[in-house]
This record gives sequence, C-alpha cells and structure tokens, in this order.
Amino acid sequence: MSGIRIENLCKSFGDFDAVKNASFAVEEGELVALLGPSGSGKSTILRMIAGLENADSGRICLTGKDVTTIRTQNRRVGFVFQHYALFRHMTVFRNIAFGLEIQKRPAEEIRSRVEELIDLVKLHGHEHHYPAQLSGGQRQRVALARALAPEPRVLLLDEPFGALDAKVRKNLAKWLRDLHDRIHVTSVFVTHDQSEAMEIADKIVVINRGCVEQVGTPIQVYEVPHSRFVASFVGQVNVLEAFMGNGKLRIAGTDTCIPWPDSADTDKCAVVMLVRPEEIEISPQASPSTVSALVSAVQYRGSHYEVEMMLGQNQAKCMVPRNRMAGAALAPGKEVELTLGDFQLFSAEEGHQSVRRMLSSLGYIE
Amino acid sequence: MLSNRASAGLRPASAMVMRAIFLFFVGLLVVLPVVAISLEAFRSGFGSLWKQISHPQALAALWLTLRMAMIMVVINVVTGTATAWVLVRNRVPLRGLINALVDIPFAIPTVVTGMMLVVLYGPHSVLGALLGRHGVEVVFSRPGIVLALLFVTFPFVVRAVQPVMMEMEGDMEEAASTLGAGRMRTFFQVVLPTLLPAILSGAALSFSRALGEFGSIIIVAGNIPMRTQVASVYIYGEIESGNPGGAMGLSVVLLVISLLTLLVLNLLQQRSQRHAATI
Repeated sequence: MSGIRIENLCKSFGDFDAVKNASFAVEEGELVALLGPSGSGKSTILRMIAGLENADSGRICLTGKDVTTIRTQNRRVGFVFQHYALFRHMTVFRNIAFGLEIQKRPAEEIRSRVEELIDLVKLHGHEHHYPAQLSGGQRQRVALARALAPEPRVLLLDEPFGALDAKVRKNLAKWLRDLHDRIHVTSVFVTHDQSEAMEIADKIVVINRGCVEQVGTPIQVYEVPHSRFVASFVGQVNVLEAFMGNGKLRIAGTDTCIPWPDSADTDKCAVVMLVRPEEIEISPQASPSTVSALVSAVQYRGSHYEVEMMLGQNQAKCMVPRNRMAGAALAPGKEVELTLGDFQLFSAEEGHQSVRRMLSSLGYIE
Repeated sequence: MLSNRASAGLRPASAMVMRAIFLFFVGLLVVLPVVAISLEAFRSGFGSLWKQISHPQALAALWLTLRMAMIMVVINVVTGTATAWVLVRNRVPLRGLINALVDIPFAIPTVVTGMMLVVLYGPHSVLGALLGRHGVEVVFSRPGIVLALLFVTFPFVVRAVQPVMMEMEGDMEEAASTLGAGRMRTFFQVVLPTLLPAILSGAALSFSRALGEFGSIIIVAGNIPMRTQVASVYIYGEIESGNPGGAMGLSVVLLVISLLTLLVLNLLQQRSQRHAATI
C-alpha cells in the first residue's frame, strides 16, 4: 500500500494549465521532494494533495483511500507553509495543541502530546512564547510540531525552508532528514533547490511546466536523466551539439569522431550530447579518442578551478582540482585535449526522450 | 526605538536640534492646551465644576453623545471589517476606485457631510418623504446623528484592519483547515482573534472622533436640547449664551473620556505588538 498515489491530476487557473496529467506515487514512510523551477506547478500539486486546491480532474489517494472529494479538514494531512502561518495570538504551546483540541482529546493527553512534540523539535523553554518572539528557524519548527501533533497520515511541506537564510536552511534541512528517520511519517516537500532535494530526499519528482518529467532516486535523476530538462535542472551540464550516423559520433565543429556502433545503420542526424562538467577531463596528450578544445577562461573557485572552453562551436566547462592545476598550466588561448566520460545523447529537438546512453563500458575510455 | 534609530543616522548636534524642535512642538501644540483647560476648569473648585456637569441638559447631551457614538461603533466595526475583507480578499471590479472612496469622509468638510445628508434625507427630498410616511425621521432627529457619525468615521476601522488582513494572507486559515478546523472554528478562533487588536483600535479611534463631531451634526440634527443636542453642540451653545463655565464642565468630561480611550488604545497596541508580524 502506498502512502500517496496521484493519478492524472489536472488543474488550470483560467487559461493557464498549472498541472497537466500528473501521476506519481509515494511509498509509506518515504521522504519525497517535488523539485522544479518556480511556477512549474509543484506547489499546486502539494496543495491539491492537502485539498487546499480542488483538482479539475484526476484522483488522489492517501493511504489507500480516495480523498479527491474530501474536504481539507477531514483529510488528516499535516501542512507546513513557507511563511509558517503560525497563529500569532497563540503561544507555542497553544499553536501545537490546536489540532488536538479539535479532535477533542482529554486535556491531560493534549499536554503530554504537546510536550512530546516540543521535545521532538527541541523548543524547550519556548512553550509560552508567542511566534513573534522566535527566530525564523524556531517558527518553522513550531509549524512542523503543530502539523505533526494530530498524527496526520502524510506530512506536506511547501518550500519549508524558503524564507530562511542559507545557513539555517541547510541545518534545518538536514535536521528534517534526521527527524524523518526517527518518525517515518510519509512526507512530501516542495523545493526549487536541487541540492536540497538531492541531499535529503529518498526520491525526487522532477516537475516542469505542470508535467512530471521524472520520478527517481537522487542517483537516478542525476545520472540517468530522462530529459534534457532534468539533466540541466538537476546539477550542471554541458550541452554539445553533435552529429550521429554511420557508426560515428562527431561533435559539431571538431574533427574527432567517437566510434558509435549503435548508429551504424542510421543516416546522419543532429543530436545533443549532455556531459556533466566532472565527466570532462583534461588529458596530457592527444590520442584518437580525445577531443581538442580551446581554453577561453579560467576561474578560481576555492576547491577547484572552473575552466571554460570552446569545443568546436560549443561552449563547455570542466572542473580542475587545485592540486592538478599546476601541471596543466591552463590559460586562455591554450589548446587542450579532453577525455569525455559518461554522457547522454538526446535528439536535437528539445524535450525528446533520450536516444541512447553512452557508457564507459563501450570501451573507448580506459 | 524608531526615534533612536532615526537620530542615530544624524550628527549629534542636528539630532539635538531635531529633538528640541519636536519637544517644543508637542509641548506647544498638545500639552499646553490640555494643561490650560484643566487648570482653568478647576480654578473655581471642584464643586462648581460638578454643578455645571450635572446640569440636566448637560448630562442629557453627554449621554446622547455616548449612546450615538456607541451605536456608530458597533455598526462601524461590522461594516468596516467587512469592507476591509472585500478590499483585501475579493477580486471585486473597480477595487482601486472603492479603495480610494473609503478615504472620502476624511477629505470632505464635515459641514458639507451634514448638507449632503440633509439634501438626501430632508423632508423635501424623495427619500426623506418616503421614510417620513413610514414614521422614520432622519433630519433633526437621532438617526441623523448616527448617520453623520457613521459617514465621518467610516475610514477608521477599514484602514486599521486592512494592513493586518493583507499580512495575514490566507495562510493561517489554510493552516487551521489542515489541522481539522471547520469554517466557524477557523473564523472565531483564528481570524477574529488575529484581527481583534486592529478592529478595537479602529473602534477606539472612531469613538473618540465621534465624541467631538460638530459640523455635520449641527446641520443634520440641529440643536434641540434634550433631544438632538450632543455634547459638542451644547458646549458651543453655552459659549454663545455667555456661560463659559457650562462649556468648561462638559469639555473636561469629553477630554477625560478621550484620554481614557487613547490609553486603552495604547495598551491594546502594546499587546498586539507582542504578536505582531510573523514574517
């Protein structure tokens, strides 16, 4: 039984289709990230799960029960808002107790449950403070405790760390992961920060323009992206124009041909190669499998140097570790030989599915 | 806090000058007149002051003023909050125009307000004649006073509640609903308590404003002792008829009530500052 199942969910606001046919499932006890650029519809999906927006069509099941037409207050979801949405006229204690009071639990039980949650979110001594007396990080923890108090079926977090500064944000994200490992409540959080999603999610749902582009573990999404969008949104990527055909792959504007046996029977066609910067290595000498490029800029980035270059008519960049820099003697205008590691091919038309994936096992990289 | 921060940006000398000008101004314009009238009122002893205040006509005027102001406050709290709600939450057509219209009562001279009401509800107008046939008199009567006060003080509650409502957005209500609260509970336990300090401060401001309203009332309701004569009109009448003592008595009472209202308002604001802005 899955924690959350979403089938063909659609939602439009006037002429704007915010969510188009979204389907995915979240297993019981998983922590899942809805990742996408702003305006991609990820928050709308989350709000539909909570019932804060009505779906135009499609189905939403929570722990096996169809809740599509059930009102928010009866769905038993915990929701954490970007701007906390705490009840400002209530103390921390009363905020957390609010959902329990609605369930008409005995006063003694409410008190012990609230204390348990205050313990969980580490807010001892703040029970009788008002939200305005707390820092941003503390407020968000109160909001989390309040959402968890009535024991919801699922926990939904809408850009939960979006209003916090970078350092607090990182700590709180890690803390949320630890918390999840202890309480295992099925959770979905919305974020536009791919590193945040990679860091704490079990599974990432990548959303673009209202469509689910890919569902997978952080490793799958990063290493086997299903579309150009996913590849370029999650992490950095070089996009190289190339031609494929007659058993060869040639990067536009270069002479180097990479053997490509799969295309032996196809005619020449335009493709794009997606190569992560860390998959490009500067090699000491030229060989049949290297590609030559012209360095256009070298920038210091602390732990490494970022080298920008022209690869034929394509712009590309790669990372050179600081300790390897001295030997390479890189400067703008210098010609270098590159070894390409893993890359992916997509047909040149935007958004088209992957043609084939290049693996180092093909044998031309040692 | 604010004055500290502002003066921190200035050089010490100019900050001193600013402070001096400010204190002189407040002293000259606000404190001095209040002190003057207080001293003057008690000069001939508390007994004679009390005699002036307890004059039946004075008491009737005071009582009428308070009652009319109370009725106005109750109506204004409801309509003002509702207006703010519509302006913030609803995508009504011409919202910008309506928003601008709210301030009109502040801009119109109150005597003109009185004239407008007389023209609309007077016995010779269509509406006035219609109401008259059903036994409702507006002009030279108490409903006229309430109408005039409502018009003059309309912006107070709206403008006090509006910013709080804008800041509240819909988040808190949505949070309440995810926690299992229905609409009634959300309204009474979440929305209303959040807005209450602002509503009360709007109510207090409109109440103290109503205590002193003169221009519109004298035109709409006239000066009928024991019936439509409000405190400010009584004070004016006493001065006109050469009895400054009587004017003094009621003036002091109005002053005390206004100051008390202000005190309550300040306490409320201090309390709500504790809960203020969560962003």
